[in-house]
Amino acid sequence: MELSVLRYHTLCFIIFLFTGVWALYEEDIGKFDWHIRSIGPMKFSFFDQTHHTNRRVIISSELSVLASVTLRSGDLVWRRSLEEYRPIDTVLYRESTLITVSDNGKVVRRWDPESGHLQWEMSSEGEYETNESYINAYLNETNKIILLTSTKLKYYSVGGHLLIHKDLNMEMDGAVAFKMSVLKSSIILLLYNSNSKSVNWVSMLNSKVQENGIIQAFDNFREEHCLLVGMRSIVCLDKQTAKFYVATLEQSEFIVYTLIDLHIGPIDLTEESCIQISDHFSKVTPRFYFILSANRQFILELEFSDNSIRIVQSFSSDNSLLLFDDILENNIIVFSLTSDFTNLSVRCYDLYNEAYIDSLEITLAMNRFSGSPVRAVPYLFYKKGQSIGYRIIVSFQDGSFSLIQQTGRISWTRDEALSDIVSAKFITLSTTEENTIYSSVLLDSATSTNPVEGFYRMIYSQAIYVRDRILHIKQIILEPSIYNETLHEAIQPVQSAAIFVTRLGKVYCIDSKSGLFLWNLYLPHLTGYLSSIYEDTCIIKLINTSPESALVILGHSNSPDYCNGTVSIVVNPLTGEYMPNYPSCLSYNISQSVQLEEDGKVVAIALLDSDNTIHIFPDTYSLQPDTRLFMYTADAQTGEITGHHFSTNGDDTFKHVPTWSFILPRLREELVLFSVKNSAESIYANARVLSDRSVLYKYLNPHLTVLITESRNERKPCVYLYVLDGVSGRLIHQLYHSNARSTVPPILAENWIAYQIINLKEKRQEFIMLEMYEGKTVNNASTWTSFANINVLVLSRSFILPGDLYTMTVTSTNRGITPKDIILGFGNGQLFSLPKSFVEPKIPHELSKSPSPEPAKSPTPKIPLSYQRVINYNKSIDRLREILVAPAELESTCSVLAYGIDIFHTQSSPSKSFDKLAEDFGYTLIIGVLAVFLVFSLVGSSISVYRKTNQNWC
Amino acid sequence: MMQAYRYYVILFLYTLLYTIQSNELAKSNKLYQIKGELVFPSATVLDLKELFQNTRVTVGSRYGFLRSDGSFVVSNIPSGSFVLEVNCPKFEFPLVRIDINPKADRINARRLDLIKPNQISQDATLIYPLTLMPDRPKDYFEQRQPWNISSLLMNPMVLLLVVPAVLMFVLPKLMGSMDPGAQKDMEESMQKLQSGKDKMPEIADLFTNWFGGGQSGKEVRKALKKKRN
Repeated sequence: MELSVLRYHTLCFIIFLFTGVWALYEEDIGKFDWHIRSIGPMKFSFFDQTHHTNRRVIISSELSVLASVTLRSGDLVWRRSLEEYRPIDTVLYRESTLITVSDNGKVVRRWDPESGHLQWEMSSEGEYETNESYINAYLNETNKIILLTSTKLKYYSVGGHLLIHKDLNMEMDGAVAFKMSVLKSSIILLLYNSNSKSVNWVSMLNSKVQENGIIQAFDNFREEHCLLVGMRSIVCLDKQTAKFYVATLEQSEFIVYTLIDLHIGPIDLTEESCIQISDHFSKVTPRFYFILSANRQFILELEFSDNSIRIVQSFSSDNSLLLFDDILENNIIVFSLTSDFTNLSVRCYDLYNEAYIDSLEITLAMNRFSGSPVRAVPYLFYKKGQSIGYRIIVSFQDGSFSLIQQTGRISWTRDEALSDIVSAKFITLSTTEENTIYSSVLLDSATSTNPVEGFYRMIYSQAIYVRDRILHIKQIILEPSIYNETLHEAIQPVQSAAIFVTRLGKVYCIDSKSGLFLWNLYLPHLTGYLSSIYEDTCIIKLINTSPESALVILGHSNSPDYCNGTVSIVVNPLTGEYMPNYPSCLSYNISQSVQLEEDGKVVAIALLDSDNTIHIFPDTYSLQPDTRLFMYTADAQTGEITGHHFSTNGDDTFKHVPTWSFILPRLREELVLFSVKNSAESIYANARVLSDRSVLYKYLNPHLTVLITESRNERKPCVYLYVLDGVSGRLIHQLYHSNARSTVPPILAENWIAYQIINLKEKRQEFIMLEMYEGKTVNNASTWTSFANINVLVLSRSFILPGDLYTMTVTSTNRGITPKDIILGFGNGQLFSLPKSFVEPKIPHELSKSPSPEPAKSPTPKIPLSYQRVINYNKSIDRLREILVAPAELESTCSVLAYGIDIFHTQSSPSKSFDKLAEDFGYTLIIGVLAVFLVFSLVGSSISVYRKTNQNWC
Repeated sequence: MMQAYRYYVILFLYTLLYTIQSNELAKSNKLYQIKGELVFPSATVLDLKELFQNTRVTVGSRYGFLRSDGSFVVSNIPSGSFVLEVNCPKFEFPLVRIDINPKADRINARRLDLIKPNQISQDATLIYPLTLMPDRPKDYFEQRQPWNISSLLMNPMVLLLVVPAVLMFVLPKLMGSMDPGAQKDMEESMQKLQSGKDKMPEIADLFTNWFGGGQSGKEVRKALKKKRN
């Protein structure tokens, strides 16, 4: 009896031990997840001087995000993300006034620089939609905001009132404003009339027109190449003829100077060449300067007496940046930032004395390659002994920006390239050679079909791991000096990492467990590889070459001089170091790729170029004698999907046979979304058991493709869906939804397809689940062929989504035993984990002969939203773009990574952590209880022996 | 003749209607502002600061940010029907359907029911400018049970220990109160069941004999002492 009680107890224990939790406990925040919040590459920046103790920097980025970071460490204080497709035109800042002008000059907002709260918002209510080519704003000394767009001039008070609104288009007879200069209450506007080819100027005092005049324009007049210098003179650059045109406002025609005459030439005037003037600079200086930037940079002075131009100083470096600051009285300092990629030097040039200030010159060693400086904002101040001090915020080509102190030190650097990710992928890193064995054994145990063998391998791999650990500890004891953080990292058996390729050409490798940056690389020539349907994407593949694996990144080149075709980067995935013997540029453009596997490992990539020729990467890889490849390409322009078959003829060349083509009605429909099934997906059950105990076999075609097209007729928006077999080109299913649009790529897994439509009539988003079955009998259980003629039974059901869906994906685990969850990413940045069983279609009565109907898990058509299923809780992801999923080591869990401006990573357990002890597992309690049992049984047995002896005696 | 006349009238009316409509269309690209206020009833001042920083109102691709008093404005909305959504990390707000009528220059708002979005009911209508209250707080986290005696007792591990122990004490008593015939039957059946397990020491048996009548503990001890002696 006592033994059976013990057995029963042990069994109960085992059951109760594995009761995991669904949602997170509040104190577990950040235990399994990490979150990176970004701002984006810097566009405008200001030093916030309102706090004397806690100084800050206000940053506005290219991605229309406004943020405040601390001056000391660069940490985020607050961040406001403005409308994505309506960029911030300009930002104004003085003392406690922070103004943004966005959405084509239509929305003016004032923010509290301290907390980031909105103070007021003004918009062009009641006006019509217009497109403005020029937008500029000033905050003048009388605390008025002057906003000039091509057709309008508006004055706002800092309190949030529209004071004056002038429609220039009406008053100036079709002339378009292109320049404004402000000095206290007076402003000068320049307008260009393209009909009469003349420049109109208007001088205003407190919005009342004082004077105006007309200057006849020259032939190649371009508004963007003109400056208004010192409220008096117009300077224009004509790039084609390399001439300066100068006129004071009183004159009616321009005076011409060739650059050669001014001893500037010969210089290369390219698209990027420009003339510019500092905003500060037009204030109260008696002399007027401007900058000419081409392959060399010049500071030029405009003499007011005779409108002549004089070179003050020339700077002759390729990667330099010039900027002015005149915050100090009686002086103007020009900062010249020069970078030779390993060092950044800052020099200060005193314009009035026309000499360099040697005491302010600094040279910094850049510890990484960031490209040349793009923008910089200096802040000059007097130190205690009346000497000049400064700090500069410099942004670089790779999207990062740093605060540089005058002491020659970089205070902090914010790496903002991660805010705009083009492509991302999970890879598995095996750190040491032993660990490689461990991981391969572990992988084998996970994939082996024989349970005894699998168990043996699992034990074997654990033994290897334990041995490594003991060796490692021994090493620490014997030679403690070697032990450091990297060694500690290296002992991790299998490390899962995420690779990110960003739009600015930066590649990152981040440890997915801890969120630590393992390495990063800046590749200025790499951009997304242009695919016809998706946005920019790159090919990221880990190939197992001996002796070590290589990470291959293939992307489009943004400069034909560097590479006319595909840029290829092959690095060591552990260190980010370039691997030798690989080409850095491929001469062809890739239209499709397939990975080649040997023993379940990727060993090479087959790339299809635009001429339908196969290239093998790396080219040293020798093909198997009988290699056959099936591929298909889709062209969104022509609406044609073509299947190709390639076979080797014993040698290394491929024979190309076009096998099928599927042509969409191009005039009627436009291909918008495209999804392919992951053929490496592990599937556990190939059938579904119905309530009458009959079996319905799933249609598990690994070559499925889903195309979603939209109607070109804007009055009758329609969504068409086609399900194709990628090998045979057979159309398996098609359907359409009228009055709908679709924006989210569909997901394909096992035997089902999930997609989203926007129901325009009902103004809501719907989620549709299609399940495909072979029927009650299985067609061919042992091998799959795409050419078998199977009648597919499709069941469907649609649901109402509770929000604005941006993206979705499906979880995947090592062996596919864990039921799948669909992760829905909503517009508010929340990731919602929806069990697939909640959205299963109903089994029709003909299939299940059971008297009671199949139970449906969700009786309502609306997807139930429980906040405990929001896996990123209150850490929302701004402008969510994509969610990636990779199986984790344990069967119950998978890694989920979502990115937009922010990046979020967590571990998701679709059906609770059934193979893992709960986090709050009470080790003391279980040891205590076991001890009590032990004592109990020992005492019991001794008593019973005693009793038996007693009985025998009696 | 009459029919032709009628036909012309219809044609004329149709053209008139069409021109009016197209005028309306031309007018309708005017831009509007949606104004409102969010009220957080159970939030402290410190919470409010954080809430206002992270809360945003969206209408399509347009955002409205919160001012320090909780009011918001979503600007530059053309006429038509829109869904207003409040993105707040801590509270759930109702979805609001906004209809901007360019003819009457009027903005109507009502609670949106996703299941029947086009059904207009009187009690769903909201007063414009909007004043929105949260429906419920968003509870992302599982509640950890506070410690109390009942949770300790109901813990499976404790139950495992206590229930069999209690049964061990209670069952023999029940056996004792049964009539002798039934007791005998039961013993027989038990013996049959356990005929193969004779060598196994039976703790329940021991307890039955010990507590269920017969010799008391003291007597047993005395008997043992005697035997040893």
